[in-house]
Amino acid sequence: MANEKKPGVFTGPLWTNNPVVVQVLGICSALAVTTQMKPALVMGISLTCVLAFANVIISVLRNTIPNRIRIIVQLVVVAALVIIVNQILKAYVYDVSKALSVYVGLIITNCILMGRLEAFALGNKPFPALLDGLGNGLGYAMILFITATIRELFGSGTLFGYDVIARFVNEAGYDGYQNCGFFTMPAAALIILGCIIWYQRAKNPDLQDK
Amino acid sequence: MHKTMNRNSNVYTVIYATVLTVLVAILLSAAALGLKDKQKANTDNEKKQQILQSVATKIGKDVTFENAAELWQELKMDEAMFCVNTNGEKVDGKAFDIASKTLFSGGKIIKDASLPVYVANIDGVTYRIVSMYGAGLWGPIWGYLSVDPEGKVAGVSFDHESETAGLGAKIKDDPNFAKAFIGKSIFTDGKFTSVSVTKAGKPANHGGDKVDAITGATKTSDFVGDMIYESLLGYVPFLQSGTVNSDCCKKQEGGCCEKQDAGCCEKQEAGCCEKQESDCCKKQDAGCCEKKGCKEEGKSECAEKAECDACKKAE
Amino acid sequence: MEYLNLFIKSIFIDNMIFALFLGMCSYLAVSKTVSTSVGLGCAVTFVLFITLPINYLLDKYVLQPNALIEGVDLSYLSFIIFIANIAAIVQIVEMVVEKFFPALYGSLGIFLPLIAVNCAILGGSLFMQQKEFENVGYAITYALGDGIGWLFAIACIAAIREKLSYSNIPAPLKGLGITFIVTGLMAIAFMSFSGIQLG
Repeated sequence: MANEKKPGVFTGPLWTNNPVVVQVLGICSALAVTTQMKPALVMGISLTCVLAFANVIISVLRNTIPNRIRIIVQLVVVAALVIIVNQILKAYVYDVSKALSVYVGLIITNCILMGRLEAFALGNKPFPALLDGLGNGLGYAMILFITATIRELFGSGTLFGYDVIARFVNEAGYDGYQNCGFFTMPAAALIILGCIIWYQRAKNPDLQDK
Repeated sequence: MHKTMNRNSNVYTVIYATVLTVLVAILLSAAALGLKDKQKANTDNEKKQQILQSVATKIGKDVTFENAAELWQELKMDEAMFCVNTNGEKVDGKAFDIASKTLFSGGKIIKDASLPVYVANIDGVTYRIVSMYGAGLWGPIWGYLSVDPEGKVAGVSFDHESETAGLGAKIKDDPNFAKAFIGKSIFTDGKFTSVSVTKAGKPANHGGDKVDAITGATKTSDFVGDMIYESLLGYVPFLQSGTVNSDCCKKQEGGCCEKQDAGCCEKQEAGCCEKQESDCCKKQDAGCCEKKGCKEEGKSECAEKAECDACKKAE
Repeated sequence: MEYLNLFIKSIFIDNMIFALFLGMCSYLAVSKTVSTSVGLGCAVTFVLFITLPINYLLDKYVLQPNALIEGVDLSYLSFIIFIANIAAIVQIVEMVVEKFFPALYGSLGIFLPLIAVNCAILGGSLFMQQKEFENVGYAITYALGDGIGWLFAIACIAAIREKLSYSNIPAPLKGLGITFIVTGLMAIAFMSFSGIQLG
C-alpha cells in the first residue's frame, strides 16, 4: 500500500491536497505570522521539521503505543519537539522568535500535526511517514510564504526587510506611494487566504463545494 | 515483546507512560541546559540595547541589536553600574541581573528594593541611567531613562508587551515620542516633579516639565507618565545627591564648597568628597558633613561611621 | 475597573478569531449551523474558564524561575505542562459531565474531545503567560473574555453562513473561500473597537 502511494505522498500536499487551503488545517498560524516574510519562513521551516520528526517517531512507535493513551502520547512527542524548536529559535534567531511569540507553542495544537499523525503516521512505515511530513510541512510553508510576500510587499513596502517599493517605485519618479497599512492588519490575512482558496479551487474544479 | 504483553493492559500503559515521560524529561532538560547560555546572551543583549538606546542621541548613533554588545564594551558599562536603595545609598547587588518588574508591588516601588543604576561616560559627561517599569493600557510597559549631571533627561527608551499596534505601540516605534523627553528637567527648584505625559495643551500632572501625549493613544501615554513618576520616585534621593544644580555652590556654606570650582561641583557624586584634598574636608562645617560623612579634625569615629546622625550628634 | 477593561478588550479588541486567529480550524469546520456553533462556543468558554486559571497557578508556583526551588527555572517546560493539563482537564470534565449532567453532556459532550487540540485553549494559556497577570482574578476574567469573544465570533459567522447558503456565490468561492472573506470583513468591523477607551 505504501509503495503504491509513494509518489503522491510527497507531492500531493504541495498543491492539490494542500493542508492549508484544501484540508483546512493549521489556519491559525498561517494567518498570524504572515505580516512579514522572515517569521513566516522560519515558522514554515519549524513546522516542517516538527511534522517530519513527529511523523517518523510516531510511525516507529506505532506498534507499541497503548491505544488508550494514544492521543496524549502524540501530544507529548509533539510538545517535546516544539519545545526543542522553540529553544533553538530563542538561541539562534532571537528577533524572529520574538515576532512569532506564542505561535511557536501553538504548533502543538496545529491541526496539521494531529491530523497527519492520526491519519498517516499511525498506519504507515517510517519512510513514507517522513515524506508525508515533509510534503505537508512544505505545503503549509508555501502558503505561508505566498501570503507573507503579498502582505509584506504591499503592507510595509519591503521584502525580507529590504525596502523594495521605495527603491524602485518612488525613485523611478512615481513619487508619493504610500504603503497600504491594511495589509498588515489581521483582516487582510483572512481575505488574502480566501483569494488563494478561490484561485486554487477555480483551477481544480473537483475541489469545489457542491 | 508484544506477544508476551498485552498492549491494552494497565501495567503496560503505565510503564509506557513512565518511560516516555522520563525520556522526554531527559531530552528537554538537555536541550534547555545546552542552549541556556546562548539564550541568556540574547536576552542580555536586548536589555543592553534598551539601556543604551536611552543615551543613543549622546552616543550619536542608533543602537541596534547587533551593535549593542560592542557599544556596551566600549562604554565600559559593566564596570560602572551599581545599585542604590530608596534612600539614595549605594548597596550591594548585581545591577544588570535585577529584573525591573521585581522592584514593584501594586504599581509602587518596594521600600527596601535595590534599584539598578547604569552609568555611561560619553564625551566626558556622566549620564546615569535608571530603569522604569509599570502597567500599560493592556500589559506591562518598561523602559530606561538617562539623566545628565544637571538633572535633565538625556534620553529615554520604552518597550511594551501588548499595546495596540499603530497607537499605543508608538511609545516604542515612534522616535519622536522619545526625543520629546530630551532636555526636560525632572527637578523643579530642587523638588522632584517628574516629566508628565499629558494631552497637548494640558498642564503637567505634578508641575514641572511635560511631554505631549501621542495622538490617539492618550491612555497609553498617561500610563507612561505614571510609570516615569512612580519609577523615579524610588530614585529621587539618589538622583538628588548627585544632581548638583548650578547654584549648589552658593547654597552650601563653609569654606570647602566656596573654594570648589564649577567643574568640581558639577562632577560631584556621593564619593567625591573623599577624593577632595584633605584641607578641604577639614574646613567643612556641619552642613557639609551631613551630606558627605566627612568630619572635622579630632573626632575620628564620625568619619569612619560616616553617618549623618553621628555627625549631627558630634556637633 | 481594570477587570472590566481586560474583559472588554479580550472580547472585542483582542478577539481570539479576528485578531489572534486562534481556534480557526474548528471555527471553520463547525460553523455551518448556529445551534452547533453555540454549543461548541459554550464548550470552549467552559474549558477555558477551567484550564486557564489552573495553568496560571501552575505557571506562577511551579514553572517560573525560582518559583518551586530557588535557582531552578522550569519555564521551558511550560508548553508540555500546559497541554498535558488541558488534555487531562478535558478528560476529567468529560467524565464528570457525562456522569452528573447527562443533559449537558448530550449537547456539549461531542465537542469536548475536539477541544483538547483546539488552539484557542492552549493559545489562551500562552497569551495569559505572556501577559504576566498579577493575580488569578485577572486570569479568570481573561478566560471568560476570550471564551465569550470566541463564542460571539463563531455564532456570528454561523448565522451569516446560514444566510449565505441561499446566495449565488461563484462556484470556486463557495464554502471555505467565502467564509474566509466574510471573516475578513468582520475583522475589519471589529477593528473599529481598537480605539475603545475605558475609564
